[in-house]
Amino acid sequence: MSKDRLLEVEGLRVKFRTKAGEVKAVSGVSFEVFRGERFVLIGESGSGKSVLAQAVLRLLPDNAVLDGRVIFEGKNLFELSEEEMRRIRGREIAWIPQSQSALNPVLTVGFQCAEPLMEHYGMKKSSALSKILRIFDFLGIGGREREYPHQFSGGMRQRVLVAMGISANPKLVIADEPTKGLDSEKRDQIVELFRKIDRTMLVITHDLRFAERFADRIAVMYCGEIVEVSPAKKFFDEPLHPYSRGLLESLPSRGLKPIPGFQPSLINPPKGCKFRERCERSFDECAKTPPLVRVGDRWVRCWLYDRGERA
Amino acid sequence: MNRLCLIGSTILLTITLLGILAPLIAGNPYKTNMAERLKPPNFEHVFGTDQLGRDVFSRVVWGARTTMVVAITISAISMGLGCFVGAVSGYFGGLVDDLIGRIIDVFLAIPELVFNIALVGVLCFSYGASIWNVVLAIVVTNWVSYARVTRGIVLSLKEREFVLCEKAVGAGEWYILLRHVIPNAIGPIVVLATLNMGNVIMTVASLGFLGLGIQPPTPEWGQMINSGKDYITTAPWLTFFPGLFIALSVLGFNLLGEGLRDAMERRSYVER
Amino acid sequence: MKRYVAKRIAQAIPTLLGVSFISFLLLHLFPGDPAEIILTIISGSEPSYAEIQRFRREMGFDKPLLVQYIHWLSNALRGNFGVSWTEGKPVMEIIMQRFPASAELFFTTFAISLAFATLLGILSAMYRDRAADHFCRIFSLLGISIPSFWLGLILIWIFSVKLHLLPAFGYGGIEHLILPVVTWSFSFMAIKTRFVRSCLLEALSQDYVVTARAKGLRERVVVLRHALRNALIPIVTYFSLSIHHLIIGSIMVEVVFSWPGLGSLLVESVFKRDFPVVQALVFLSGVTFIVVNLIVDLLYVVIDPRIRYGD
Repeated sequence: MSKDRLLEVEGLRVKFRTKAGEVKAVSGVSFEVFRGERFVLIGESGSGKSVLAQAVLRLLPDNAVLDGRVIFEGKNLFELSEEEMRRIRGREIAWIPQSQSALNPVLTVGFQCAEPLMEHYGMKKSSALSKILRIFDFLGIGGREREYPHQFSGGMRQRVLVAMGISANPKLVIADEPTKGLDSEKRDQIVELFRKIDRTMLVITHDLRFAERFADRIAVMYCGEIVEVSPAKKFFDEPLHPYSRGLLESLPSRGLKPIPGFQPSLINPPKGCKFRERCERSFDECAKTPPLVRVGDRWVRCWLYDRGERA
Repeated sequence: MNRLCLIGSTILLTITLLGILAPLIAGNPYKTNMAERLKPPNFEHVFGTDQLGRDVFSRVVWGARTTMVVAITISAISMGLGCFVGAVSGYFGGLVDDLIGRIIDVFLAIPELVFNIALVGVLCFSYGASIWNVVLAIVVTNWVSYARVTRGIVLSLKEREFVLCEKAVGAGEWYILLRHVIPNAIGPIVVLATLNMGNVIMTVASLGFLGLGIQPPTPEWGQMINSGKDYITTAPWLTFFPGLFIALSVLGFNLLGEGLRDAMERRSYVER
Repeated sequence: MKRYVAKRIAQAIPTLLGVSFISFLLLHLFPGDPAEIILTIISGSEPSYAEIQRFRREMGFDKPLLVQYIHWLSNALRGNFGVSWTEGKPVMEIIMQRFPASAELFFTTFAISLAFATLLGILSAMYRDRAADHFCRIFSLLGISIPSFWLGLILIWIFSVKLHLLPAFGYGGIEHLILPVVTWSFSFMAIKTRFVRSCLLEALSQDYVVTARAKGLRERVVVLRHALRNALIPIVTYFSLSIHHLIIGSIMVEVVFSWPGLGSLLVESVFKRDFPVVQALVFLSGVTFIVVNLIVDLLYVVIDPRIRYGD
């Protein structure tokens, strides 16, 4: 029984060549997103999660070096030409960016949301806009298509971004930090908003509460690697990886106990398990890089669980 | 040291060296010899001779001296005046800043060269032709950019932690100004001064070309082109060489300034 | 928006007054008796004591400086700058006579260099490779380093003296226009191209450009519709500042090519000691700058919706 895999990431590696050295943002990440599910990728800043999302869409700057495979509906996106990729962006895979400055300040929001329709379906501006009108109504910002981004509050702007993402009817929607800087009330609104999106979703966030309410499945990233993949409920009931556990325990509702130490540098990452320095349960074996192992229907990258069944 | 700096400095060094060594290598720029007038470049006169038989090479090299000295004087005075006003304006803020800001706006509204020309004209008419008229006329418009940059730096530094710390400890205003503000301001000011030198040289040469700058027989590049242009059909070298040197010196300063600016930006990038 | 407009106008007025005061002062820097000095220039010979006294009363030199200033200003605002000291005609008449020649040169050069600089700037920003970058930089460095008067003379030597293709000086048909325009455009364009390019590059590095690409828009659309629209704002600002370059450039070019415009008028008047004309030109150049800046600020209302619908 294999569910329909919409997106498969295999061994994705992303390195940035900078003046300060080579930054290994993503080191060998593999996961799958099934059609119709809500997949949330959790990680702190610097874990490489945003880079991963941008890598899928091939939106990284020129100094990025990509390796591995990203398979969307059976096609390896890395093997496509730029023109073919361009036709996938917005139409098959859409991107909902972080709110801050993602919208063009000199164009109306209606127009910006209508652009994917005009570009990918050749629609005329008027028909595209009327479709957008309906989407705006649906999302609770009806009638404001002629306004400009600066006239919207943060929460409302988020809805514009959602409208922009779903306007061309994509199969997969990738959302980057949708609750960044928002308080808990607004966060719940975003959850509601996203629930309205009837598409396969890959959400990148560090917001655990959001993940708890929204996700079907969770993946945790640490220092450029995936360290745990799990159905949401099981994850929040009982996280496997020590880092995951630490994340949950650092929540106010669960004790506000911070994880000691700092995230390692991505320029000179440590050998072996990257979480070793900060883990209270580390032992000798942790000097070697642990592989991703299966534990039931979950995956974990930790020697504590290694019983011989490898990924 | 990046490439720009290198090329710029090389050019400038050469020209400055020529200027300094003028007495040794360039002979007498004032010696006229009507028998030798308007001769094209040859072995004896590398850049040819002008309409009074003077050696153009000699005049160009001595002109380097004149130009550099005058330009440095102008820059130094402008810098002193401008930085002081800018620092005061930025540091003390309030009404003082407003007033000075308005004055700066007024000077910015009138195109520099226009005002230079008018002022030189008035001054020379009133007090006779003199190099100091030229210096004064240019300083009057030139100080403004120094004031603006200094004010900007002071404003940004005012908010930085170490200044607030010092204030908390109770250090005096002048102490802060001297010990903290000025050392941090030096970098951008040096860049500005370098680029500004190019500007000043161009202005001095422009005034010279218009006949309003340094008067003959003192050799000055712009003024040489002015007298040379009448002979453009028969003796184009009179126009060519002085102009070439103007372009080279301005280019040199611009390259050096750009290079310095790049180097400074890289340094602040690393610090971050 | 109305507040923005009112504020800008209010800011311009003190500057205008300052410019007028400085222009006024120009004629009061003479040591000794201004009446005597001026009369000497006008009549060409030593005036008698009685004549001096009469002149002083006529011109109001016996009144305090401030009164004289106000008197001068009220006249100046009506376009009355007095009578030329050497030509016997009203200053304004002389200026208006020379104005068309300057205007012709000005607009031709402005139009051509604007078009070229924008085009080159866009091209070199879009095809941002090593070669274009260096070329642009070199071009603009040369543009500011090469004295325009020297360039003009060299062009005269090449095209007039050697090739006999174009006339060396004078005012007449198109053939007289070519060399001055080319000379002037060169320095003007060099700086503009670099600036257009850097503005555009700055805009291209913004978040909304990534968003635009994520929507799958064509690169040309991204650059022209998204980046350029935003880059226009600083570009337009810069063009208003370049009024200065234009005015300064016009002086040198008009002198080299004996073009009977306002630039050469300024220089001639200084030599003839016709200082009212000089004073008027100083004042008018300052006023032009202030007015152009004001117009540009008002243009912002059209270009930047943040100002149009701002707070």
